[in-house]
Amino acid sequence: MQEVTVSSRRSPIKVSSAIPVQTLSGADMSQLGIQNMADAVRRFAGANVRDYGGIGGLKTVSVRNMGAAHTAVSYDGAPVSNCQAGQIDIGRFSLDNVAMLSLAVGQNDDMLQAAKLYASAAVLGIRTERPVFDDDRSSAFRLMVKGGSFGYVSPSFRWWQKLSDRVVTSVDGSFLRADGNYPFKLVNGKYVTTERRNNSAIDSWHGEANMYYSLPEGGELQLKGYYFYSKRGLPGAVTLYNPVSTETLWDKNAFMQVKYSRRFSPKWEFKVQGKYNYGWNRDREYGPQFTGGEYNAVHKQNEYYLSATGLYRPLPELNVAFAQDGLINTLRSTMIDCPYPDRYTSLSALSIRWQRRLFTVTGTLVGTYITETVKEGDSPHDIKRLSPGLSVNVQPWQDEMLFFRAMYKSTFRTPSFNDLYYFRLGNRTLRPEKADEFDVGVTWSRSFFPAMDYMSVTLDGFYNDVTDKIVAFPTTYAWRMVNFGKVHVTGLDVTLATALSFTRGLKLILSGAYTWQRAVDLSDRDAKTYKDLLPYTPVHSGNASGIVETPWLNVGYSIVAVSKRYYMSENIPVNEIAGYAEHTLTLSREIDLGTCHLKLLGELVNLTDCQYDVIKFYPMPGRSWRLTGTFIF
Amino acid sequence: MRIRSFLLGALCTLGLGAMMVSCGDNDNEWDDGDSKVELPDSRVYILNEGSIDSNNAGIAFYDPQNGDFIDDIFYRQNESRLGDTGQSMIRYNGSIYVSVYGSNYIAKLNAACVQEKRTLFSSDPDLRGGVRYIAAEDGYIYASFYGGIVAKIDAATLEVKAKLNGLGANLEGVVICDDNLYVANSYEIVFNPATNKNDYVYKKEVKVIDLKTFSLKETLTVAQNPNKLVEEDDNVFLISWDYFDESYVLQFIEPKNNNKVSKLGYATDMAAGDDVIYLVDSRTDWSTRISTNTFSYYDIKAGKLVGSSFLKDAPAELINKSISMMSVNPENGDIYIGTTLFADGNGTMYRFRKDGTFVEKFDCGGQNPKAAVFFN
Repeated sequence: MQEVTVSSRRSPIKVSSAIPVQTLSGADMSQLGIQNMADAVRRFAGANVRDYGGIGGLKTVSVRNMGAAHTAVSYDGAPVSNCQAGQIDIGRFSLDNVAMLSLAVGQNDDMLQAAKLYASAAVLGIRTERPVFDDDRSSAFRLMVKGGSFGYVSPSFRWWQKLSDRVVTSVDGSFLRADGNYPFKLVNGKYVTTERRNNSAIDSWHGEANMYYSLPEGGELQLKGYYFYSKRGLPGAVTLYNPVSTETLWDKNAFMQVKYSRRFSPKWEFKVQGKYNYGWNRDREYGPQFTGGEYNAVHKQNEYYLSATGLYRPLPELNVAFAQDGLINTLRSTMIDCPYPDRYTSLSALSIRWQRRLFTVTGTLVGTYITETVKEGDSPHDIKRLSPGLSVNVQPWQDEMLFFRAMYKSTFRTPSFNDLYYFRLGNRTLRPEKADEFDVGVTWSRSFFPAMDYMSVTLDGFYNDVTDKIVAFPTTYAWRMVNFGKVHVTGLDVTLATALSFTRGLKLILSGAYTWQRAVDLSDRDAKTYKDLLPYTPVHSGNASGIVETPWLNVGYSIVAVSKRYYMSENIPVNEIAGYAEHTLTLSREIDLGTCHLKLLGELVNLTDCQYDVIKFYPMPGRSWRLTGTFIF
Repeated sequence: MRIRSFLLGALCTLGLGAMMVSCGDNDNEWDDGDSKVELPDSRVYILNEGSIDSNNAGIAFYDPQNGDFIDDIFYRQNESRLGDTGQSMIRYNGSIYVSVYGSNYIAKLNAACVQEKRTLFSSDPDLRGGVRYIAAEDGYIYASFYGGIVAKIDAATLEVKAKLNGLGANLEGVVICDDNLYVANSYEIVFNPATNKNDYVYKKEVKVIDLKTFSLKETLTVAQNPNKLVEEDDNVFLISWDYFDESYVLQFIEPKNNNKVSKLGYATDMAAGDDVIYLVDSRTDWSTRISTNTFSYYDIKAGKLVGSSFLKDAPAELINKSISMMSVNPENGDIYIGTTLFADGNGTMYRFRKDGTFVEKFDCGGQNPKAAVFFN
């Protein structure tokens, strides 16, 4: 697949061929004052982030409104999973050591990717920094301290070490604490009061160690160890007249992953990776309604993951890749009636790409087999499915970076352990939830005058069809998860990016994204909600940002805006949530101290003090500030 | 004093904010003080529970004479929301009392739904579990709470006068019969070290509290997970949400026979009328996801369960709707059956005459209709 680097400088949008891929670099995230992973991801066209507010609030991403469970998250190429909830809390990932974020709808260009990523409707890729050394150095260090509103303090360190010509290591560590008790305006009819978001304190630790070994016979071996711990208050929804909130959540997550990749010849490439993931969380709440005055729930998940992908080029025009993944997922939980499920998954992905001159076509076929065992009750039926995908890309003129593309992909999401086994709500007869994606798009990139490094525009029209949607289905008093829902999503994504270089080191980088979409519920013709917009799906959303780089000071400004939405299924005025626009201003300066660098960054977030909710009754912070000092030596 | 049109809110609120409206010009004893809306003599108020964490509980007004309707008269009158999860509503001495579970308070409203008093319970550690159901007698409101407590509350001031602790776990329905308060002790969640899991432990108790001494008098053994209680003709009827039986269990408690408990059959909801307990039993076929309602009634005078429906010409769709409430206007016997779409939309109310003939159906103005009170 042809991929074109359109500028020697960073490009916010990767101009690639058959599928829409958006990227955001660590440098841009810093320049724009992006606060966390959710804040970054919401700047991608088509990404809908559900943010329950504050540093510790749950944050999930749904791409083109297919549902969060249809979006895979990969961390340095290895999928991250949560079989219990079915969706990933992206809020727990630190941005401190992230080199690049990408969002690929359909699938990534990388034919050597794992089968699990081939099997997903969209992939949020998190790529961490790799050590880079100045010529004569074998180590590099970075110390960073952040401080800001609402008791936010976060020191972190990074240590890169070259152990030999072939072995490089990196170690990262960060701590974060915040009171999180930000003020918000509560409007209750004629009464407008200023309240505080209590029980929002968070402490978290994050550590990561990597080793990169260039093997003498060629190829590379990567080892990664990761640990995350957090304790956070869960303030819950703002409840009128009742400020009591006593819920606390502890999370621990550790994983080890190993990756070996090698190009044996111009015709053969191979990659194998393995991962062991341990997830633990404890939820505690106080109150007289709980026996002994306290309720505790503990959940433990294990994942054992092995993946191998081979890429073969029998002809110059033909690439054939085959990926095979095997996973074992387990859940041990104090959840009422938890049957201790063990899930065994096999994913096989065959991908064939044929490229002739300016025409590229890629076909994929993913085979899935899932079987599950439980200690109590009946096991769910095995899942056996084949999921095809096809994409076509045309570049009409060789000298013009103008690409037309079309894509179809069929995917599904497996019922989560909660869908299957949650006390009384779970349903062991659930089938997978199916999604069909269609996309037609165009990318154009060129420079119109010498000062312009590039300008790129993408335009994508899309249509998604989600059927057998897994929803909680009510009867009198009792609810149960069933395959009932049907959703159609129609939309348009537009992105624009440009970079201009002027004299005296003055540079201007502009980017923007806009999404128009209608995600409608077609589950039941007789329902009041038939053809209504799904909850939390705005018709309009977008963002714009500008960075001015000068030799003395860099200035970043960004706006994220979302139109009105409904927070309930029925589209009536009482269920509306107002739209919002959040503005962020950043000022930064780098000071060169010989072999050392000092970077100072000041951020003013939500500078208009816009009071808004992403999720109704989970207010977002108003105006806040953050200062960051980074010392690199 | 009949309102001519409620079609536009403007007609109801036109600068009448300061207007004192009372019913001094009719024979009714209730007070409409500070009402922003001119209301007719006949009034039905419907408590819409809303959905949890959404602060969308409300009280709708319905004029049974001409069908006029206000979605949320509580908001109209008080210019603030009722709160989160409306739980119970009763009429007592010409006033309306409403308990709101998530917001955890009780409010006293006048006959025009204007709030007169409100008592919040969140600052009382004993009562933080949340208020559930209420009943009233001799100047006091009795409220059940999660956490096994019943509070005795002055009906005029809403001051908590006494608390009776240790009644069990999560208390649900309450009813007063013959100076005794019957309280359903439903369930608790207990950690079981043997299995290393949390378990639901369903209780099999109805507590009988002597209201003269406000002390526990007796504990009755009933089908597990008792929930709803109603009283009629000095008899008490109970539905237990026994998830392990074929449906929810209808029971009969006879105060005049040493509180003898007997099983009558199955019902998912009930309402007391004139010597009659109206019943509905809803069963779901999970292979088709279709729920089917069977209507029947218990004839108290005859002492027998009558299997035929008390409805004559009900709209066909009612048979498959999720019924969240039934209530009977004590003045004329009209039967109100509320159906719910849960958080997917507003509920619908079906109104019938006492003889079962269908009158009309209308949108409830909010989610999950839960209770109704009647004035004329």
